Amino acid sequence: MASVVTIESIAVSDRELVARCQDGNVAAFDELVRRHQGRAFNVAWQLLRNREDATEVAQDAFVRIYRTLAGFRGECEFTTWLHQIVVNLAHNKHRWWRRRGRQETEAFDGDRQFAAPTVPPDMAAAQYEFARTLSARIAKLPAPYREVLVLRNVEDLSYEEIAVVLKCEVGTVKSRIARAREALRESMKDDGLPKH
Amino acid sequence: MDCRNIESDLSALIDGELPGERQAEVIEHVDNCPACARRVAELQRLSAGIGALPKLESPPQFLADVRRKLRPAQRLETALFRPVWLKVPLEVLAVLTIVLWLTRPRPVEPVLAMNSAPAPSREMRARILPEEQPSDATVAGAKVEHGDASAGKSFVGEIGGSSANLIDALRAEPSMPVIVSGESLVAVRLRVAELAQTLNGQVEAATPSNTFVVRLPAGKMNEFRARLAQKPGTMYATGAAPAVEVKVIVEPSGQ
Repeated sequence: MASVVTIESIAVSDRELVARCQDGNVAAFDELVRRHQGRAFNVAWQLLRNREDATEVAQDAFVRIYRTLAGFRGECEFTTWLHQIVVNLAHNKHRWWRRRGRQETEAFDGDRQFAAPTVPPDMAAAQYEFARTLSARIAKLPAPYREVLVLRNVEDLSYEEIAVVLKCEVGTVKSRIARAREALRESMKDDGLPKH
Repeated sequence: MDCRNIESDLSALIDGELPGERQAEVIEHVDNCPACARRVAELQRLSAGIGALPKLESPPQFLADVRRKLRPAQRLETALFRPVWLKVPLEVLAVLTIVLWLTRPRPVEPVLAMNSAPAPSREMRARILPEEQPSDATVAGAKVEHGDASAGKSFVGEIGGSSANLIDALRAEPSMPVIVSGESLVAVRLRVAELAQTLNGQVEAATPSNTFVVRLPAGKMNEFRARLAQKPGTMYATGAAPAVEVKVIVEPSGQ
């Protein structure tokens, strides 16, 4: 039975699920959440580096989607819309932190990503250490830089899609990604970049 | 090509986001510039490293929590998703209902609004007739404005009430030519009749049952209005909510 559900869920596109939701099919909405919760949570976590806040933002993104789904006309992909909402809610969370005088770095729990006591078997020790350092350096980048790097390199969005998510020009995306990478490259100099 | 000016192009190059011609130029430069080639290699490693970072698992109760957060909204589920052809009229109806409720006529507590038809304009109501009655006449807590009494057009009085009462009376036009509030239909009729009789007039019941027609000699109508306004203590239960509101239409006896 479970495999039938899986086959069904793979076969149905996001667009079709959205249409079913708009017809009042709550199960279709559940499927959208199941399908994209990991993506929403990880983007939120990369932007906020706090598990509780990331969970809240990702869940609130789906709540917002549910409440505005009736007006969604498919001008963009569902995932682009989801990214847009997650990024906006993460912005709000940053503002909320700032209003309460909370430093972003206080909120970070970056090592959770590397909480495993041993090196993952499919990762060499040097690679593991590089990833750990890289994650910590990304966490210290300004939020706009973090956003574009996550959307480009983690979510694999094109510049055009990122421009839609961030509501800016493609040229702005291009230059911001370049500056973000340069900032990251500079910050990694002390630790050294792996040769391969 | 200047290495300092192609930083963003190097980044876009590894993302495959450069237009064909520009891509060819940048690749040619990188092939001949060891510094830029090194930089491209570093950027590629960084990008690959970011993409390969371990991902966290979302909490197992994620969907259940979303459902919990949606619970209040799900009560409105049908309202959210029902077809637009049904949703829009329902929303319009809801808005109209709210507007009508907010603008509903309220109890005209000690308020006297009087006119003999046709309904007067607001400008007419505002006109003062010094020969008929001093403006802002009169009794404790009372504000009385007289319209063109000689034309038998308007008379709006607010006695012991607030401006909101006056506004309500204005809104009520033209269906309420005179409103007298009191503790009972009979009491109000007796009081109106008592005053009418002193001026050789009479009170007749009309339809609907809370409507009286006061017939007076033509020359007495203004006096009737003035005396009505000067007797708030007997006509109105000031400070208490009126039990009834009675329409009084003032007409010449001969009509």
